This record gives sequence, structure tokens and C-alpha cells, in this order.
Amino acid sequence: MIDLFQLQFFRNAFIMSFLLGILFGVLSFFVVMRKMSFLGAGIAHAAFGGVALGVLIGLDPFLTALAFCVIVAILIGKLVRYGKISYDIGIGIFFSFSMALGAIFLALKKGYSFDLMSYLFGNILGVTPTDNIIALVTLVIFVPFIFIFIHRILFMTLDEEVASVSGVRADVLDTILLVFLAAIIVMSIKIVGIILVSALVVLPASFGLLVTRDYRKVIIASIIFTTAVMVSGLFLSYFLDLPAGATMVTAGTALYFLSLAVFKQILPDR
Amino acid sequence: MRNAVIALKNVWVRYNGSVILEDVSLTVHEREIMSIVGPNGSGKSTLLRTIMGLKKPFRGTVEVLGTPLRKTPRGLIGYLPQKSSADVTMPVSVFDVVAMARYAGKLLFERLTGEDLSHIASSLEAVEMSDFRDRHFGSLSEGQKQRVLIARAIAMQPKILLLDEPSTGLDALAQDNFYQMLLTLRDTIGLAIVMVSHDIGAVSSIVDQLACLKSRLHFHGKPADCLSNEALAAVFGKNMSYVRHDKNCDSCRGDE
Repeated sequence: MIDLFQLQFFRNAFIMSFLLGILFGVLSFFVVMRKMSFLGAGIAHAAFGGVALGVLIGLDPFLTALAFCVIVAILIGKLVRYGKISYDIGIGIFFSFSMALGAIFLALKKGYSFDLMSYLFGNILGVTPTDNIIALVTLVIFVPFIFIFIHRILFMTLDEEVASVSGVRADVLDTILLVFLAAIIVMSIKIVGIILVSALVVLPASFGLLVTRDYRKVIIASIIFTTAVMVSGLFLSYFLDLPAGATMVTAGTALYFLSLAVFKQILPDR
Repeated sequence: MRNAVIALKNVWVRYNGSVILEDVSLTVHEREIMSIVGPNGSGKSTLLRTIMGLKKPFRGTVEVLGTPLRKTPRGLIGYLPQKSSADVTMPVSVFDVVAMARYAGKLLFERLTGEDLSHIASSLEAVEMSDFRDRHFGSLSEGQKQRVLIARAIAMQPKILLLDEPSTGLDALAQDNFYQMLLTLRDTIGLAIVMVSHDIGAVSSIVDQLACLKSRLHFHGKPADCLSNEALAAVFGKNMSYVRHDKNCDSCRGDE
């Protein structure tokens, strides 16, 4: 075990898994409650367009994906608000559009061999100390943001119109949440990949809601669930010689269903 | 002379290309309960949304608490929508729901003070839900949820309370208690209350003013004048009838 931490790539992946565990643990509750789960999948797929843009213009694909996803997330939010359409429609439009742009960008970069699988399903070898610093900075900004605004976000989640009339700037808070969602998703792509990341958006809060009906405890349970799943998934993947992201998502899904069965036995009325 | 807290002057509102409100002028004073009655689609909810600033008139002016609507500080209007979109799966207690209203008016780093807690407690007491403060909001009956949402609306200490068909889902006894609660809020806190309702008979005995709306305002004044007026026929049609639930109503007295 100690030998494992001598490996730079494993140390980087471990730190990233731990930080993402906390980030997704907190984020998931608000995304699930605001019924934005599909948005996670939409933004993750939009990252493909951002990655391809980076390849085309010769910049770090991680940074271009980050910028691209933040812009797409904001555009989806604006489209939903001003077009008075549902999130499903807004995401559906940008989901395909971003993937199509990605395919065009890659086609324009002739003769470039692109490791698509690493972006689709993650590759922990790609996690760098800089990525970990970015994740840590995000954590340091995101957690206090939630702590300060949690009651306003809960209010607008419960009843957006009434919250607005009561002085809550739902549009501003929603945009900030979308930006964090995009940033956290892009950060996780190296670990779990574009295809698998939506599981990390949905599973933590779904688990938390099985355990308790107190939002504070739901968030704590989500954090414990996600960090446990990501860190144990990382170790499992190493010892079983399996892809890390796929192992994490499979372990998380299995744990969720196991918990569902157990909690249905303990609390059948829930 | 009581101050006007809501003043609409010749207000016209359009929605999806159709004119919903035509040339509506009305005034609501402090310590006054007004009910807006009218058939489905007559613009009642749009009128409330216009007062809150959620709908902008394309003609006319709206003044709330003596200032043009866009300059009115937020948090002075408590609102209960017709059908709350409140997500009942949310893991929040009754206390949490009412506390949200107190947090909405606070500065970023402020937490709840003893004064906030006492307002939350008195709001729950006003709607007789104190015993439920730790219960999961989603586990309550419809009537109980309605009461909690009203407690949330009054916990902000608004000057104006807007209620869109608030008695929906309440049984006869609960409705009666609810209307009594509104009278108490008017008399003790001095709230101005505007309430959309279908039940003209029930509200006419408690409100100070009645407004009959069908795109245009067909009547605006004392309930007794409206009920003997042609306004009801103009709004609801000539065949409408209603039961007035006051001291003369036999069925309201039950098995005395």
C-alpha cells in the first residue's frame, strides 16, 4: 500500500479522487434537487467540443474544455430562462451541438492522432499536480459559497417564484451553480471521463436521500459516499487492473442499489 | 385616512400576445383585506403577479408602498402561489421552510438571531403549526402544507400578503379557521391582504373590499354593494348563484 503512494501518478489520482469526492458530494444535492441531473450529462458531453477546440488551436484541451463548458452551462441557463423552455430542451440542443462541433474541430486538425478513449472514459495517468491545485482552489471557493447561500438556494429550489419575490436572486445563484457544475465536471474528466461523469452528479445525493430527510445530513452522507466510492474505486482498479473511472462508477452504482435494498427493508415507508 | 399600499392605475397586461388585463385601476389600503373574484382565466393570478413585479404592464402604473414597483424593496410582499411548486421530496423540516423566509432578507454572512427564531415561532403559532416544526415538510397533509407556506410568507414580516386561492385543499372547518387567522393578521400585524378566490360566499363575509375581475374590473368596493350589483352577473353570467357563509347561513352553524 505504502509502495503505491510512492507512485506519482497514483498520488495525484488519489488526491484528485478525494477532492472530487467532496466536490461532487456537495454539488450533487443541489443538482438533483433542482432537477438538473441531465445537465450534468449535457455539460460533460459539451466538454468533448471544448477538448477538440483545444486540440485544434493548440491549447491545453483541459483549459479549453473548462472555458467551453462554463460558456455552454451559462448559455443553457440563459436559454432556459429567456426562452422559457425546459432544461431538457436547452440541454438537448447544446448536447448534440457541442459534440458536432467537437467532431468538426477534430476533422479540421488533419493528421492528428487523438486519444479519444482517455477523454471518454478517463485516464488517471493524465492527472497532474496542477489539476489538483485547480481542484483544491475550486473546493476552497465552492464550499464557502454553498455555506453562505445554502438557505437561499434551498428557498429557490423549493419554490423559485416565491423566493424571487422574497428577494432571492435566483437567476444569479443559478448561473453561479451552473459555472461550478461545469468546472467540477471538467475536472473529473481525467478520472472518470465524459461518458461516466454523470453518475457522480446523480448517485451521491440519491444515496443521501435514502439515508435521511434532513438536508444537512443528506449532504454529509453524499460526501462520505462519493469520497468512499472514488477512493476505494481507485484502489480496486489498481489491484484488479481495471479502468479507474469505470470501477468507481460501477462500485458507486452497486453500493447505491445495495443501500436501496437495505433501506427499503429498514424503512419500508420511505 | 389609511395609506394606500397598492395602487394600480389604468394597467394593461399582455401574456402570449393576448391582453389579459385591460385598464385595471384599484387601490388597497393598509389593514385591509381585498378579495379578487372572477371566473377561470379572468386574469386574477396575472393581477397578483403584476403587483409583485413578475409581470410588467405595457401600459399604466403600479405603485407598491408609495413607490414605483421596480423601486420597492424586496421582501415586503409575502406571497402564496395558487399551486405551490414546492418539491415535497426535499429533505427539509417545517422549521427549515419557514426559516428560509428569514434568511432571504439577510446579509450574506448573517445567521439567524433570537429575534428571527421568535418570528419563526410566532408565525408557526399564527397558523397553528407549532407542534409540527420538526416534521418533514413533505409528510404533511395539503392543508398543513398550505399553513406552513403561509407561515413562511408572514415570517418575513411583510407589509402586504398576496394569496392565490389559499383555501384550496382546506376542509370547511380549516377554511373557517384560516379566514379567522387572516382577520387576526390584519388586526394585529396591520397587514394588507389581497386574496384571489373562487368562493365569493365565503370571502364576502370577511373581506373589506371585493374586486370582480374579468379582464376588466367590473366592480371594486364593499362586498355588500357588489353582491347586490350587476357586477357579478357581468363577470360570472346571469345564472350564477352563491351561498353567503355568514351568521345567516344555516349550514355554517352545523348541529348547534
